[in-house]
Amino acid sequence: MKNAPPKFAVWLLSRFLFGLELSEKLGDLEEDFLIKQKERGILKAKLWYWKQILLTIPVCIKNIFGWGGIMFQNYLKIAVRNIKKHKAFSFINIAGLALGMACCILILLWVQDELSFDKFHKNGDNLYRLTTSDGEGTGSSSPWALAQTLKKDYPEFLKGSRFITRTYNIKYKENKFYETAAMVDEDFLGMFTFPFIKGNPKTALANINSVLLTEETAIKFFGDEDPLGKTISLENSIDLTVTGILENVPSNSHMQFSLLVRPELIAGENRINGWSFDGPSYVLLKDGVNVKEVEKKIAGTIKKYDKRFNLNLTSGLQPFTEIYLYALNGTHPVVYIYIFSAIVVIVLLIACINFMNLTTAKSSQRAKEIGMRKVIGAQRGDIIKQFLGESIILAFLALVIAIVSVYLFLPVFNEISEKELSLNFINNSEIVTGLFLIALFTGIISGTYPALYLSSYRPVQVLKNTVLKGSGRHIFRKVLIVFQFSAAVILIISTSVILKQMQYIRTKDMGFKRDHILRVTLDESLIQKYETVKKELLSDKDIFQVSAANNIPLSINSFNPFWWEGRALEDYETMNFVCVDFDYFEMFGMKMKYGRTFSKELQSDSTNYIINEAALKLTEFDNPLGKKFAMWKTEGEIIGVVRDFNSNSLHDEISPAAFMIYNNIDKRNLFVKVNSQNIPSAIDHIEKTLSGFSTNFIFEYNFLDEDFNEQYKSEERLADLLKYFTFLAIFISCLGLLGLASFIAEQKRKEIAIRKVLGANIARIVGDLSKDFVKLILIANIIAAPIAYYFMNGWIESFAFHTNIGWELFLFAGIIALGIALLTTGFQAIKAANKNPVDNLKCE
Amino acid sequence: MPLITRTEEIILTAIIILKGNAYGITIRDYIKKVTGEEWSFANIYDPLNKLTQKEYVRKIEGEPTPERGGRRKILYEITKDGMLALKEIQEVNKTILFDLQNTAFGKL
Repeated sequence: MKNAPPKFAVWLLSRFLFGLELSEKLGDLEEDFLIKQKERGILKAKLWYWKQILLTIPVCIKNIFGWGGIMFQNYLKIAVRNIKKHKAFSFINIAGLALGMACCILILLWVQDELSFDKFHKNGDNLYRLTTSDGEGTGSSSPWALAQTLKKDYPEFLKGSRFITRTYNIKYKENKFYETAAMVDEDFLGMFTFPFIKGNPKTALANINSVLLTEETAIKFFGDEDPLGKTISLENSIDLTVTGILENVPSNSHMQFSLLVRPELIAGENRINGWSFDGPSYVLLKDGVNVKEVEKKIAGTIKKYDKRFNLNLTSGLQPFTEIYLYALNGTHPVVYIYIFSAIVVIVLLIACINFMNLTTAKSSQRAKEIGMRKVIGAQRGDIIKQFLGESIILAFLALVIAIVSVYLFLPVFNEISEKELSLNFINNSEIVTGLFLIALFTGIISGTYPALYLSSYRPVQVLKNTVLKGSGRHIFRKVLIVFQFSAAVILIISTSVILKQMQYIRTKDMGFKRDHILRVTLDESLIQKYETVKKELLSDKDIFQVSAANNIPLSINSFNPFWWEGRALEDYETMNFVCVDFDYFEMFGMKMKYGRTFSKELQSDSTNYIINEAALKLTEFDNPLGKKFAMWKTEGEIIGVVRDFNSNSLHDEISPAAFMIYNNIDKRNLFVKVNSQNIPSAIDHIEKTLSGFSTNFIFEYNFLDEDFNEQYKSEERLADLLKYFTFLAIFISCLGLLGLASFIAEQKRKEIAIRKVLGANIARIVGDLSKDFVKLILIANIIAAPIAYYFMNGWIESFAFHTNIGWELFLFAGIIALGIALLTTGFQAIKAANKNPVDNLKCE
Repeated sequence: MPLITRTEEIILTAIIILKGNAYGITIRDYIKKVTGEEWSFANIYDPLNKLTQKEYVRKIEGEPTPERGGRRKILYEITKDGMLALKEIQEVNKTILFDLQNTAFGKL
């Protein structure tokens, strides 16, 4: 009905009024609404209706609460008066809680973002990544042909696609850039949810020359043009037709790409249908299959089909949604989620404990108020209600302050954590309910003890001033302080262990030099002319050395079958393989343990090998030099053993590796050592030289030490975050201690005054006041140390190379905690001790 | 018994004058007529509730009508106590007016 009164307004009123009363008002309003509508039109009538409703509601509320409302007003008034009366105290109380909550909100946002990783695919629960294990470790790579073979052999596999990413030189007219292209199969679009902006998902990848672009990439290449049907070229040799535009890949996806292509034109038939490893594959399983059973069935697939080398590799399935959280190497991000969730709880507890401590401390001063209320007729329930209500109101006040400060600090937090978090209340119901529950939880926890404790006062005793001498509540307060400081000390120790490990990683000798070395990715034509390019580069006086390899010394990861003297003929072992140019070991300053490096003079060196110490251990040779060694049936001799260097993250042990100069494999990565005094001109020379040799070349470079730092960025970032949160936790603890110290000094002011009159000096009084706190903090240290040791030992063991948790960290944490506590309490104590005793004794 | 307020006085008067057809709308119309201002519903129902609590008026349920969305009309009727309270305030009004005319207005 078009001319009916606004429905929402009617609903609103029906929340406040019931039965006959409601029907009376609604009836009257509707009748008048119809009259108004005839007189002034529907819009004005509706406005009028709304105005009437809004004016009616306050009156209704007042009537509903009646006397309850009046008592509520009284409670509110007393609460406000209490806040005003003890301004500093209330500030400490509320600010501490707000700070704690702000921490919580930030961390929860962070955790929420981490947990949202890869959760946006509709088929998410049935998607798996194929993994390969060699008995020692599990890798994310699987053979090219595996996914399609499984699909053919087992009905449980509905769809399968490779996802092999490479950086390619992409060109459209004048625009050329390096882009990350992912080689995928036709099934890909049906497995994953990457929404289309343009194009037909059904046919987009049907042709082998199709290419899909993300929106960002499309704009980069095409600007305002319509990209559909246009042709772009890949590596200046392969022409691809744009068949669709995808939405940008969300940042919380572990699969990242700017283009999707079919592998057929790029990789060649043999590779595509073969059993070599170049990247991961994903499969979609049928609903409700038993994954464990399927995994058992497919375990031996590689052995069954790949007859060439008889490698002992087994295939497995990793649930898609676990790929990010349970990474196959390095520390699982889920560990950090646990650490940060623990911090949320600790910080919130510390803030709550402050609140409880401060409120109970103040309780003696409100004893008379409670006595009076009881005499006048308040029940125990009323007192409980009052105090719980008060602390809940304060908690919500703190929540409001916390939300405001989260808004203020979110940009800074995003910068540190390198995320794009935002606090959005409209479409983030989890956060809204979460915040509400946090405030309610904090309010109830903090309010329960004071509420139950204060309501148990007996009015007669209170009014005669004979209560409050029990030692029970002091013990309770002491336990809380010990607990609070234990938590803070655990955080200090954990953070310093993490920082120490980070320092260790930064400064550890990796076994090779990486400063002032540039890395440039070469294209096809440059690889062809490599020798001339190298000569030309070295002609500049600012360029010291030039070398190349098929991978970067920071990440040497490739399964390859090896055979050596003493093994049965067809018995292969997998090992890492690096194809290098001359000068490689010299440039990176890698030391030889035995033998020599490759020599330009010796023709036979083109099939000879250098192995690392780890590989030497594997071969069990006493004298490795001159022994027969082969990779993929290319036989040669071992001419040298290089000292172990850390080729991968320090999480992992150094894995066995073999090096050779093998001209049949592209050495795509060019390394140039430049003069540190003259870097810009050296780079200029490199760019000119390379562009001179290849017209379509795109010059991009990285410094190796930057690449290196990138590897530990996520951990550095988390260490940073942890540092700030630890600082905040300590700060909040100190706020509580400050409040408590000032309260105790205030309570003992007469005692202090009398001591002073009797001749005590200031040092003695300060000592007396601080003694108790020092004792508590020492106990807290003793409790915290073993707990922190237990947890941090677990974390640090996840690194194959790690520093030790020295006793000095515990000492450091203890001294920090003690120092800060002494500073806060001592300040109050000195202030109290310096007061003129007359001022404190003359009253009453 | 304390005196009733001006608002209550006007509402009681309205109920008497409207003779059996006194409900939300008509009372508001009458108030608009005598004061020249349109009062919000809240301003009428609150005193009406108080008058009902004091038993100066009582509610009578009317018949449901279509223009009210099928809801019953609630009619108000003045009680004996209500009459007395109104008379009392009118006495006061009369006295005040009389005194005023004799003094202040006389001198103007």
